[in-house]
Amino acid sequence: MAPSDPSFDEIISKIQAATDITAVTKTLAPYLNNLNDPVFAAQPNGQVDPLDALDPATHSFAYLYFLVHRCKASHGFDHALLAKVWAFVTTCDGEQVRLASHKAMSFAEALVKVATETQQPIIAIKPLAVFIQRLQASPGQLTMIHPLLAKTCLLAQSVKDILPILDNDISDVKPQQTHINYKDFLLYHYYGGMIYAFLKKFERAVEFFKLAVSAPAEVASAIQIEAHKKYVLTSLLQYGRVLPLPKYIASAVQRTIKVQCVAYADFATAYEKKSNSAIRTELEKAKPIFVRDKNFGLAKQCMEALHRRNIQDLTRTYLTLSIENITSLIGLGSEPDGARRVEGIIVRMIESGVIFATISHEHAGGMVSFLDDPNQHNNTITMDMINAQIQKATAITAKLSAMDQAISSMPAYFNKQGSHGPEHSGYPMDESDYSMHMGYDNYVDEASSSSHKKQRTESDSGKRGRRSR
Amino acid sequence: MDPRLSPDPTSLDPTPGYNTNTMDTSADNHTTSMDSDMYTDSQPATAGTPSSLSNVTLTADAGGNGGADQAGNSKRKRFVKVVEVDAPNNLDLDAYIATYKGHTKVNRLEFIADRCPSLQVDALKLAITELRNTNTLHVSRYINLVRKLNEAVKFGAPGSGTVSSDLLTVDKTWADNQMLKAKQQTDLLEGELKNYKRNSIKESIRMGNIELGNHYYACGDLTSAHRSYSRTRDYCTTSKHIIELCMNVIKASIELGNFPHVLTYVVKAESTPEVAQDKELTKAKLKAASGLANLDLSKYPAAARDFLSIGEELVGNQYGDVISANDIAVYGGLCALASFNRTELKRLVIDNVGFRQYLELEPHIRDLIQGFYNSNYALCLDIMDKWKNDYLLDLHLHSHIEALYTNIRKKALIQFTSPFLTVDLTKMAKSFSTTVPALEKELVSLIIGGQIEARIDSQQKILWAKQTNKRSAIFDRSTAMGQDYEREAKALVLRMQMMNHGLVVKGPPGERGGPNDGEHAFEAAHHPRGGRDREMFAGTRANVSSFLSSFSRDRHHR
Repeated sequence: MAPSDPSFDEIISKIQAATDITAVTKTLAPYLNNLNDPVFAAQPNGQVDPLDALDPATHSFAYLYFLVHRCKASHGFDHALLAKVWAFVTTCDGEQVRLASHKAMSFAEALVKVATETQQPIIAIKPLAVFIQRLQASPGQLTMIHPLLAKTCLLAQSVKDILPILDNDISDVKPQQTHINYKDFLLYHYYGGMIYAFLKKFERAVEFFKLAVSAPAEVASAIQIEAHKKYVLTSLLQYGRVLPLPKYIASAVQRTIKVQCVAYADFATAYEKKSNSAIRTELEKAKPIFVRDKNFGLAKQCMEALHRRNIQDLTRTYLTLSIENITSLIGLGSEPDGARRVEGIIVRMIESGVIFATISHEHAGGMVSFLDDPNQHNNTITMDMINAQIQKATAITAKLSAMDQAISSMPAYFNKQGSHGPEHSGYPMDESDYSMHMGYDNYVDEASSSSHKKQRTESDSGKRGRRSR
Repeated sequence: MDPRLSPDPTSLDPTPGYNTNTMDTSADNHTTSMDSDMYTDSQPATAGTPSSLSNVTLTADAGGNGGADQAGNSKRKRFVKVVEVDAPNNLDLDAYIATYKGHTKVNRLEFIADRCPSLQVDALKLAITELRNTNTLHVSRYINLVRKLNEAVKFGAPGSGTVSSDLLTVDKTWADNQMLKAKQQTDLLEGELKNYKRNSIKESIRMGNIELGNHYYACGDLTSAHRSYSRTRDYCTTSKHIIELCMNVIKASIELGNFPHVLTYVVKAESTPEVAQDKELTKAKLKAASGLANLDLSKYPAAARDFLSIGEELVGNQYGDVISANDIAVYGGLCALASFNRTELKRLVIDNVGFRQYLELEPHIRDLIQGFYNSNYALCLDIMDKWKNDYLLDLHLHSHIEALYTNIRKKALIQFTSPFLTVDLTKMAKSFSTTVPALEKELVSLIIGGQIEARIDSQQKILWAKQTNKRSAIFDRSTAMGQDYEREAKALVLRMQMMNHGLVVKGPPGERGGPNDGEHAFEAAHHPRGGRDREMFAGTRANVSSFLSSFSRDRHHR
C-alpha cells in the first residue's frame, strides 16, 4: 500500500506511459496493485473522467481497474456506464485483461449484480458473452467468466447469446493464463448441460454432464454428483438407456455415485426395461427425491420420451398399424384421450424427422404406414459429411498421438519409471544407469515396445498406489 | 367339493419326489428312536380300517418332520410349481416303469403318483410292490408310501377298489426286520472300516467306504452315501478306481439333485485315462449323466449334444437306475429341436446312427424331428401337444417342458418365415393352429429380439421380410462411430490437459473423502506436479494409448 495516494494526473500519465504489454506487466501492474481502492472509485470532481481519458483498446489493463469500481458503485440503470462497458468489452485487448483476470472476474460479477438489480439480465449477458471471446487466448479456452455467464443465462432463461460459446467445445484449460480452478470447469459444464436440457438439446446436455462427472478427481465433488443425477435422466431421455461413463472416471466419484444416486439407478433400470407400469411405480417411489433435487421435470419428460421411443420401436416391427393398436401397444390404451395424444405424438415425430411415416384416415380411427429412411446416402451431402468427419477425426487423432508422444518423452515420465524400477526388480542398480537404459530402449524401439511399456506403466502405477496407502 | 382339494399334504408338497428322500434321511441317520415312534404311531392304522383318524395324525407328524427339509429343497429347485396332470395320453405305466431299476423306479412312481390323480393308486401300488420285492432297507420310505396309498384310497382316487388289503397295511414284522438289518449292517460296516483304518491298508479302506456308501444308498441316506463315496477319493490308486469313485458320486448326486456336482465328476471321469473293460459303456453313462445335468441347469444345447453322443451302448436300458433308453430319445430329441438349426438337426440328429436306435423306441419323437426338418409344423405341434402331459410326469423333464416347447415353437416360426419375402398371417396362423392376433404377438417378440428380420403389415395381415439396405446401414453406423470417436478423443485431450495443469477435484487437506468443494484448486494450479498428480498423469497416458489402439475394437461391434 502506498504511503500517500498519488495525484490523479500522475496515475493517468503513468498509465499512458505504459503502452506495450511488457511495460504493463513490469511496471504498471505492480504500481496499480499498490494503489488504494478509493483511488479508482473516486468520482471525477470537475476533473476529466479517467474512463474518458483512457482508451479501452490500448489501456485495457488500467481501464478495467476503473471500470470495476464504477460498476461496483453503480446502482440501477446507468446508460452512460453501460455504453462504456460495451465499448470496453468490444475493443479491449485480451492479453492485457488476462493479466488482471481477478479484476476481470470482479468486473463480471459487478455487471451481473447490476443486471440483477435492474431485473434486466441482458445487461450482463450480452457484454459478458462478448467479453469472454475477447478474454480467450484460443477459441476453446475456459475462463473464469464462463460459469458465471452460464449461471446468469440459466437464471434469466435467456440463452441465445451463450449458445455460440457453449457450442464451441472447451478444448483448452490453462490455469496459468486464466486462473480457473476445477470448480469453474465443473460448474460451467453443469450449467451448460442444464441450458442444453432447457433447450431440449439432450445430446449435448448428456455430453456436458458427462464431462463434469468424469473430470479427474481425488474426492467426489457435490457438483459431480448433481451432474450425474442429471446425466442419468438426460441420457434416458436421449438414448433410452444410461450411456456408460468413460473408464477413467475417478473411483471416488464412482463410489459416491453408487451411494448417493440409488433412486436414479433404480429408475434407470426400470426405464431400460421399457415396462410402463414398472417405470411408473419407480417414478412414484423416487418422486420425493426427484422433487428435492429439482429433477422431477426431467423425469416427467422421460415418461413422454418413453412413448416416442416405443413408437420408434414399432417402426421396426410393423409396416402398417392402426392408431388404436399403437395406443394400446405403447400402454396408453387405458387413458381416455390416448388415441388423440398418440396421433399428436406421431405427427410431431414425423415433423421432426425421427420417424418416416404417413397417417391415413381412410379407415376409421386412422392407419399409420411406416416408411424407410428415404436418405439412401447416395448424395453429395453424405459425402461431404463423411469427409468432414474423417478430417476432424484425423486431426484429433494427430493431436492425441502428439500428446502421447510428448508425455512419453517427458523427463518426469522417465523419472517415474526409472526411479521405481530398481526397488521392484531387486537389482542393486545405479539409478542413472537404469533410466538411461530405459530411455535407450524406448528410443530405439518405440513401436515394438509400446505395448510392453504400457503394461509396465500400469503395473508401476498400481504398485505405487498400494505403497502410498 | 372334491375332498382331494382340501388339506391333502401330497398335493401341497412342493417337491414330493425329493422330499421323501431327505425327510427319511434325517430319520434313518440320526434318530432311530424317532423312526420307531412314527412306526408305533401308525400301528392302529395298520390294524384297523385304512381310513381311521390316527392315520391323519400320522400324516401331520410326518409333515412336521419333513418341514425343515422341505424348505431347503424348494430353495434348491428353481421350479417348485406343481402341475397336476389329469391323465397322460399315451403313458402305459407298467411298460414305462419296467425300463427302470433301483431307486429311480420308485422315485418316478412316486413322482407320478403325486402329480397324476388318475394314476396315483396304480403308481403307489407298483412302488410298494417294488420296495417289497427288492427287500429294501429303506423302511421309512415304505411306510410313507403305504400312508400315501391309504390317503389316496380314503379320498376315493380312481382304482381304489382294486387295492388289496395287504398293500394297505404296514407289514410290521418285515419292517422291523429290515430296520434291524439295516442297523446291524451299518454297525458292522462302520466297525470294519474303523478296523481297516487302524491297519492303514489303502485298498481295504477304499472298499470299506464303498461298501458303507452302498449300504447308505440302499437305506436311502443319500447324503451319507455321497460322503462315503467321496471319501474313497484319497485312496484311489488306479484310473479304474477313479472311474468307480466318479460313477458312485454321480449316482448319488443325481438322486440328490446336485447337478453341478455331477458335471464336475463327469469331467473328472472323462479326463481319466480309460480302462479297457466297459470303456464304451462307461463313456455312454457319463454322457447320459452330463446330459441330465445340463438339462437340469437349462443348458439345452449342451444337453442335446450330450444325449446325441451317447452312442448305441445304452439301448438295452443298461443305465436303468438313472435313465432309460426311451428317456434318451425324448430328452435328446426335444433338446435338439429346441437348440439346433436345420442343418445341425440334419447333421447331428437325423444322420446320427447311434441316436437312431433310441429314436426307434420312441417313434413319435422321430416323427417330430422328421416333421420339423420337413417343415411340417402342424404335425409337429400336434405331436408335441399330445405328448405334453406325459412329459409333465417325467421326473427330470417336467420343469423344462414349457421352456423347451417355447423354444421349439420359436424355432419353427423362424424357420417358417425364413424363405419367404411375404407371408400371409392367416395362412401361417392356420399351420401353427393359432389365431392371427396371437401369432402377431409371437412374431413381434421375435422381431424385437432380432430373430426374424421382417415387418408386419397389420392392416392386411402380411409379414414382409425386411429389405435392409446394408449400404445405408454402414453409412449410418460409420457416422455415429465418427461422432463418438471425435467426442471421446476430445474429452480425452481435455482430460489430459486438466491433469497436466492440476485441475483435479481435491478435498481440503486433512479431511479426505466426502463431497466437498474447498478452495484448493489454486494451490493445485500452482503446484501442478504433486506426487499423486504424476501417478494420475501416467494413468492418463495409459488411457490414451489404449484408446488409440482399441477404439474400434471395443465399441461398435453391434
